[in-house]
Amino acid sequence: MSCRRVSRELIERFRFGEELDSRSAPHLAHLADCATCREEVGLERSLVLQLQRALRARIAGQDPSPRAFNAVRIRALAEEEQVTWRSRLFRIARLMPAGAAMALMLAAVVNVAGDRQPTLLQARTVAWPGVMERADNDPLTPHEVAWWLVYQPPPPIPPPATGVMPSADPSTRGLATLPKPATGLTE
Amino acid sequence: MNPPEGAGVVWVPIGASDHGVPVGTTQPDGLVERIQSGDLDAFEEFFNRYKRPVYTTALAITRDPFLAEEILQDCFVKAYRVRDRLRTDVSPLPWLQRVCTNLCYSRVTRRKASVEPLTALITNLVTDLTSRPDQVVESREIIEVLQRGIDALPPKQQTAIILYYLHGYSLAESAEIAECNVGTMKSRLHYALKALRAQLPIERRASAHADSRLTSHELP
Repeated sequence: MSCRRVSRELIERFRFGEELDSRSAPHLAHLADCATCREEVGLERSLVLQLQRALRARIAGQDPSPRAFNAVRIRALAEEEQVTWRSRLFRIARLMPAGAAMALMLAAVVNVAGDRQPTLLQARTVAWPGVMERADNDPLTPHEVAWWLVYQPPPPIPPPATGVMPSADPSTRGLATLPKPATGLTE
Repeated sequence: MNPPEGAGVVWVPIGASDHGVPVGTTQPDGLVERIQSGDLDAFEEFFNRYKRPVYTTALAITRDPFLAEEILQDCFVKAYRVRDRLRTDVSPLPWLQRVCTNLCYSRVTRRKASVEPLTALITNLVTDLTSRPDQVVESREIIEVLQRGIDALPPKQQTAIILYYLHGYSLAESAEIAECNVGTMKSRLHYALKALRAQLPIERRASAHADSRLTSHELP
């Protein structure tokens, strides 16, 4: 059995803490006779021991502080609260498109209805077409004026003629007298 | 993992976890379920049960107690945040260790320049090695060289030696934590030891194993 093979196989067993069994007998027999292999395997064993000491030295005498859990608890709960708010906002944000769509639909319905029948303000203006002011004496807005012009009620029907004809002369206002019927008499 | 019967060689004690928290066990007391139902006392119990191995890993990697505590807190805050997704049928320790190592390397990389070896930690570790003053000095130097060597290892190899040689997890447990297979874990350990061995100067190597040399009368 070669030194190289013995060293490699035994070192691996030492390194990984594997148990020596009957298959290791030839290796151990070689080791008993070969100083070089003993040196090599011993070096590996020493390295592992020193490595463990070095690692333990890194943590020697150190413990988490007694307040560690309190800090963890505060942070965990605060983070959870933040997550709750974030999820609420996220939920609201998810509903926003639906809300916007509903608002648009509502606006469209109101707009269509507004085209068909006057609003209260417009109706009041129609009721008193001659009054070009609102009840609060503010001047009408251009929109209201435009609406009033469009929806101006028809003019009133004139009363039936009772011997009095309306004057053909536009300069004369009021009632004109009818011509006298011919009687054949001279004045 | 036990020393073989009749073997004369001194067995390196590897594989025995000294934290009393084996990786592979399930949680029969339903601790995780209780946390999932919002029981803060259960969370405190969970923290107390697993804080030590997590803190040890963080401290071994960062070598900074304050940073290690910060990472410990981050790790458990994250555990609380994702408590609903924690598995109830297996131990949460591999997951916690994985989160811890990831946090460590993200932090250490960020503040690499500020991480300095704490030689104070090293000075008190070798007093029990031998009574000879010259050997004490030699061992301290070796340990110091090894500390620098550990710091210089790639993160995956560093994690491997911390899990295997410090925590004493088995190869399978270490592989589970590191999310790799056993062969990969063996390979990482092999290359880590090879790199550390190369760090030791020849004369240091000779003195390092002077007191642990295998003699022919130790062999069967």
